[in-house]
Order: sequence, then structure tokens, then C-alpha cells
Amino acid sequence: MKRKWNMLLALALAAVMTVSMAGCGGAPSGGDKDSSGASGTPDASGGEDGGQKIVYLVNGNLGDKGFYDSAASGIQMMADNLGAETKIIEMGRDETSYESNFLDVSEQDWDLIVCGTFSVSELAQEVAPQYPDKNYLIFDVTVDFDKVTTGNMIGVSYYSNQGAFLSGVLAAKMLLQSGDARIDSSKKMLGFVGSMDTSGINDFLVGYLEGVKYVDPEIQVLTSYVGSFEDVTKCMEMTTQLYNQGAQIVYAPASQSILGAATAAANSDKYLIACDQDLYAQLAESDPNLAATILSTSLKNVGDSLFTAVQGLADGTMTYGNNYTLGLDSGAVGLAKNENYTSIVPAEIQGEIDEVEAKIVSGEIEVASAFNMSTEEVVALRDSMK
Amino acid sequence: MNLIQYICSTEFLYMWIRVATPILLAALGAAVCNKAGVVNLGLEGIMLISALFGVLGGAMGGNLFWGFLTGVGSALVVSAIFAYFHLILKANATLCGTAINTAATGLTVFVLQLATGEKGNSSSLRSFSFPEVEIPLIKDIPVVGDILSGHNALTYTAILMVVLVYILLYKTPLGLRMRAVGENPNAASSVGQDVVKIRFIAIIICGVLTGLGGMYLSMGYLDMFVRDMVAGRGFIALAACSMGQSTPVGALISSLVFAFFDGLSNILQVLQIPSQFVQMLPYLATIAGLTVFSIQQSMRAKRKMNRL
Repeated sequence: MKRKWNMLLALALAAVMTVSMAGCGGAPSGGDKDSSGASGTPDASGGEDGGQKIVYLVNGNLGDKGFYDSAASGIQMMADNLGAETKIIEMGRDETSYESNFLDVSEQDWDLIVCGTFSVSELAQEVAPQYPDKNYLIFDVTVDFDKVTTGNMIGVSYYSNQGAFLSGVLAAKMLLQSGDARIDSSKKMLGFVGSMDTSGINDFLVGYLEGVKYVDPEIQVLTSYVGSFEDVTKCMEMTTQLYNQGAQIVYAPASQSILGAATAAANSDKYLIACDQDLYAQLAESDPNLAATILSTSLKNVGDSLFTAVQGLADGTMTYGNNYTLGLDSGAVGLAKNENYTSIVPAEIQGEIDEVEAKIVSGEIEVASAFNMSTEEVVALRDSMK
Repeated sequence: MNLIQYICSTEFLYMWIRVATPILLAALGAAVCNKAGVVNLGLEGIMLISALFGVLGGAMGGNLFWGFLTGVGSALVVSAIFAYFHLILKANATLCGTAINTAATGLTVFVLQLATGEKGNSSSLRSFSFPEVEIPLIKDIPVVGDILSGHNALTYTAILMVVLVYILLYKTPLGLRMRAVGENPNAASSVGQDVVKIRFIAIIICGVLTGLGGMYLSMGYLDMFVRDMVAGRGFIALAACSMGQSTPVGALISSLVFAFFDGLSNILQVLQIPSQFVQMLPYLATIAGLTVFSIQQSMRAKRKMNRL
């Protein structure tokens, strides 16, 4: 009798475990299985009126209030506006699972396979030539078309450094000119906290440093890297340290751990410039206390750009076999000018920011990029500002 | 500002204590378990689950008390599952612990999404944090007050727990039984001790302590749950416990050592030291600590041999 109960309990626990594993959405092997929740609702008429079948492989997890969520919103737009049948697969951070996921979806009947960032770049460019009848869109990466000669891939990348440059200008001008109560202009010091010391994040850093230098080369910039995409508490400690050591405004391309930076800003009563998706808009209702510290966000409108690309592919303005780099001029990057921004930033500085923006668009200001610099050059630039 | 100056600053010392708290709580839990002869690898998962349920319970129940209750309750349930599988179904402890950690990652996201509709964090919920406590008298002492007072209630609980765990292990019959069961389960059972029962109790106590550590992350450090927020602290706590020879005071000291280097890594980057090196420091310190410890041990053993 006792044994029977043990069996039952074990079975029940196994069932709970299975359900919980499904929740993490990692690598579903069957093609028909819908990953929980965030995936787009398949259009009922999908396939009949030319609705494409689009799958997005997330090389991380949704819910980061930034990059991946933005991309997912673009996929959702394709489902809503283009009648596409979409699916989002969260592959998590386990890079060993990526290859099998790529091969799986390539074997299935998707019209377009979307993926992004440097960590899948090499893999995607290996898989695409093996499946010439499938189409691939990779974002935040430029495709090497010497390698992918099959003409079934399109690259969409961003001038992240331009948005970061504006953040640098904004931070420096606020520090010197605003006279805001949360800013001590006698300490000419700003901060930067990034998630990882990689070229993707350093592209933000380089733009930011150039922006600060553009206003006043005398300003010091303290830099830290969390060393993790998820460790919020670590990010909070590091950002607190930056504020403690005198940084008056911190710019935080810190991925998912950015909420730690926002908490640090709220605790230290300082301002933060967020990254990727308008963090103020995301937190304004749920956590007004945190939202108030978000001076602005250097936007990277990944979702919009993906939608534009898919539309462009459909109407012929964009074609496979090309790289498209989107910057300020197309609205793919920029500063979030929300109500918090307009109420905190003095009109004078707002005007100056708009001027700088126009200069970048016209090409008068050219922002350096970490992608064109060697590691030593980035380190030298970073250390020279400390 | 130079490094020495910075390390001696009140801000750093305050942060040191703050960083040490979650590691200390979990390490104390691990110490109780280890003494009873169970290696509980599931600390990481237990922390993560209680961090989430603490926030959810607080939001649903409408006050901190419910949050506390749900957080500790969830840690109890998970620990009981671990104990059941390990002690009664005789599954391998390493396997059970790993299963808890793996399941916790998925389970927390799943539950979080059910409760909030979001997969990343619980910022949309009204959460309750443990209060920060000003200690009367001490808070008025100039420098010392800034360092020791004003910490989270759980930080003081953690320090209190060092004393309580010490009393439990060394001054009570239950503690004696736990140590006996840990040293030699066969001998203990030959004199009529119920090994399973005693280990079960140890695992449950470990669960409560670890759960408090997890809740500190989401209800003290931050006032929200963020997926995967434990970020390896459970494993660090295990290491801290082993380094401290599974004694409460040893766990306290080694947690402080870990927290010191962790805190140091927060500030060193600001100086011109490569971030990769800085991120390595806490782990490097572990290896160095363990090496020193084992050299000491072998020297002591040699001396003993010579005396004989």
C-alpha cells in the first residue's frame, strides 16, 4: 500500500516537472508545439492569402524589457499586419542547443527564419547555404556574403553607436548645464555599466564616450561590466558603486539586468540612461519610482526594423543577398523623447540634442564604431576617460 | 581615489555586509545539511523558488507577512521533495539537487508568467520588502553606525542564525544526533537513532535558511523577482560552507571572504584593471583559500603523526 502511494507521488511530481520544463520554453523539438505564451497567434487565414510562415529563434529569453522583447514585438507586428503565421522559439543561453534548433527549423516548412546578434552569427551563416530554398534574416550582424553565396540571407544591423553618442551628449550636457537637483555638476564624472565586454556592447561604449567628449573632453567616464546578462543584483551593486564614486549619470546597456541599474539609480537618487527599449514607458505604470530615474533610453527599434525589412522584402525595396545598416535617419536608433525626458531635460538642451541629431544624419558628425576598432584601441579609449 | 582608501570607506564595508547576506544564509543551511551527512546541491534552485514565491505571496496576500510565509513555505515544500526522493526513494543526492536546480529555472518562469503575464520580472506586482532596521545606540556612533546600522532585517537575521545554528549543532541533543548521523550513520542507527528522520529535519532546516537567502534577493536587495536572479550564489554558498568546514562560524568567515572579493570586483573595474580579470577574482580567491586550508590540514595531520 505504502509503495503504491510512493509511486503515485513520484508520478505526480514528474508531471509537475514536465509542465515546469515546458514553461522555460527551451528547445521544443516538435515543430507543431507552440512555445508558451509570447508566441504570435497563428493567423486563421495564414497561408491562403499569401501569409508567410515566419519563425524567430531567440538566442536568449524573452522578458528582458529590451532587445529580445523588441524583436518579438516586430514578429507580432508581422502576424497582426501582414497575416503571417509566426512562432517564437526561446533557445535560452545554452549555445550548444542552437545548432540543432537551427537545423530543425530549417528542415520544417518556414518561409523565413529570423535570428539575431553575434552569438548566432557564425552558425546562421553556416546553416543558410545548406538550405538554399529557405530564407534567413539575421539582425544586429552584417552578413559575410563571401561565405553565404546562396543569396537567401539578408542582414539588418544598426548604428547603435549613434544612439549611444546622443546619450553621451545628453549626459554631458545635463551634467554641465541643467543644474538639476539630482546632479552635482562640480563632479565632472559620468558612468557606464555594460553587460559584457564584447564588441556589441562596446559599440555603445565607444559611441557614448565620443558623445561625452564631443561636449567636454575633460569629463571622466567610469566603466564597469557586470559579466553576466542576468545578474541583476550584481548590476545593482556595480551601478551603485559608480554613483558612489561620483558618476552623476550612468548609461546602462546592461541587457536583462538593467532593472538592477534602475534600482541603484532610484536608491542613489540619480539619473540613468537606459538602452534598447523605452524603459520609462515600460515601468511608468508598474513602478513609477523606478521610472522617474530614467532620463531617456537610447532606442534600438529592433522590432520596427524587422517589420520594415519583411515588408521591404515583400514589395521589392529590399532584397536578399544584401546588408542593410539602419541608423538615426531611418528611426531605427535614437533617443526616447518621452514625457519624462521633456519634463526633466531643459528646452535648451533638448534643442541642442536635436541639432546634434541633425548633424549625425547629415554626416557632419561621424561616430566611431567598436566594430571597426581593435580591442586595444577600445581599451585605450576606455582607460583614457577613467 | 586609491584602492586602500576605498576598501576602508564606510560605503565599501556597508556593501560588504550586504553582499555577504544571501551567501551566508544559504551557507548556514548547507552547513546543517553537511553536518548531517547530506550534500544539498539544490540550494540554487531553492533560493530561486523562494525568491519568486516570496514576492508572489506578498503581492497576493497584501502584506509582508504573507510574502514571508509563502517564501519559506515554498522552500519547505521543495526541500521536502528533495528529502523524500533522497532519503526515502534513495535517489542520489547530487542528482536530486541538480534536478531541483534545473526544474527551478523553468518553474519560476512558468509561474511568473501565469501570475504576471511576463517572463522577465515581477515589476508589475506590488511587492513587499523586508524593512531596513536602524539599531538604536549603534546607529549614533559615527563611522561604525554607518557600517553596521541600517541593514535589511534579513541581514541581522542571518547574523542571529549563525548563533542559533551554532547552538543547534553543538548544544542540543538534536544537533548531537545530526553530527552523529553525519559522521557515521551505521553507528548512529545501531544505537537506535532514526537516520532518515534526523536527516529529514536537517534538510528542512537547510531549506528554511536557504529560502531566507533567496527572499533576501527579491525582497531586500531588489523589490522584485527577476528570472535567474540567484546567478550562482547557491553554488558559492556551497563552496563557502565546505571552505568553512561546515561549521557556522566557518561559514560566516568564508562567506565574508567571498563577499569581500565579490565586492572588490564591483569597484576594481573602475580602476584600470581588465574586467575579465576582476570577474575571475572571487573564484581565484576560493582556490587560494582551499589550497591554504588543505596545506594547513596536511601539516596538522603530519604533526599529529610525528607526536605518535
